[in-house]
Amino acid sequence: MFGMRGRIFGAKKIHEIEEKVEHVHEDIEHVLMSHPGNEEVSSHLKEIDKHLHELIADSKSLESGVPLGLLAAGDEGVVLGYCGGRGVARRLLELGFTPSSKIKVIAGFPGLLVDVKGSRIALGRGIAMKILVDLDGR
Amino acid sequence: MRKIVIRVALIGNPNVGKTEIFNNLTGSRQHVGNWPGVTVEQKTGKCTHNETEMEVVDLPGTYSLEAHAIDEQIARDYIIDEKPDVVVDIVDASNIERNLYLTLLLLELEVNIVVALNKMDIAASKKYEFDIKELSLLLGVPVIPTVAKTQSGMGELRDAILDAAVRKDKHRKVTIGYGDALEARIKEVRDLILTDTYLANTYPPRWLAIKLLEKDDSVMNQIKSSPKRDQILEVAGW
Repeated sequence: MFGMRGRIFGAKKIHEIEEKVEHVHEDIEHVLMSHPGNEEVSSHLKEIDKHLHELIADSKSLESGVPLGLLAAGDEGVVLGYCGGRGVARRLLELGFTPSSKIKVIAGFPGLLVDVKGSRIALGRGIAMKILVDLDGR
Repeated sequence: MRKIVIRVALIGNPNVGKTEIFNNLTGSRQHVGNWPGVTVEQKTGKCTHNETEMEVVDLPGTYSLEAHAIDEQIARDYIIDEKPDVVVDIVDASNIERNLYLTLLLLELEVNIVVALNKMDIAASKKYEFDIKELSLLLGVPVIPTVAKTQSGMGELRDAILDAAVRKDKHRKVTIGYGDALEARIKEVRDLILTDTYLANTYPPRWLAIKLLEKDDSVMNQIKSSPKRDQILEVAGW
């Protein structure tokens, strides 16, 4: 879930994390090679390795996400998820910003006017910055 | 002739034609604006249908029943505290995905709902087709297609409101399930709420339990004077 992370990862940050994960992956491989035969430990390590790779895949899916607050009038995209607490997430869900719904920015200044599910919703820039949008998602 | 007054509340998302339906029902000439948020104060009108008097309240447009803003608060408080006999949920047929969210919230509140599926003309121009019978069956409430602009469906809507008001089985049979894990928790909280007879008779226990588990602050008003308050909050994980 994107909403759980609480902050936006930049592409550079994601790359750094990916490198670190690769190091941990090599360490795990090394331990597995040098201590063969312990089935319990090796299955645990493999599990950890799997989780790490899932984590990096999750982060990468956010790479294409742009905060809605940075978009201009005419931009279109698909909601990826939110950054922020449960209050923010609930309010945005109520307003119709459900993940994978299409949005279109009608006006971008001073606040945002966004078309989502056939309604025009006015958003302050603060809350708009907490919505991640995939611009490539048509 | 018996003299009964049926209290009817109109609720729906902003800009679905609530005030238009209000005007159609009551013959009043409230201003209708083509922008959301026109109705902020509460408006009341009266009408008579089949010799029964109806008092109709037009509530502000709202996307949900949380208490974020004053207009949403008005709608929520009216439904929860005033307990109207019938709640007419006006759904924009041309925008049904968004609109049915409020319908589900009302179902959970176990209010006596009639759905007015409005703007059928616009939905038709978008080539939307509706299986009204199936929708009514799934929601467990009457669904009346309307076009408020041309007053189409208003007679049927009035009939449905009267039917709903005299209907005996007010408690619906359709429950929105949340899966085994959550249902176990909901039951736990609900069972505790049921030990406070006043609370359980004033608010739907299942609704209250769900709101408590959602950590919805505004239900604090409902449970603050309960002798079981601390126990309930503890079980709900506050």
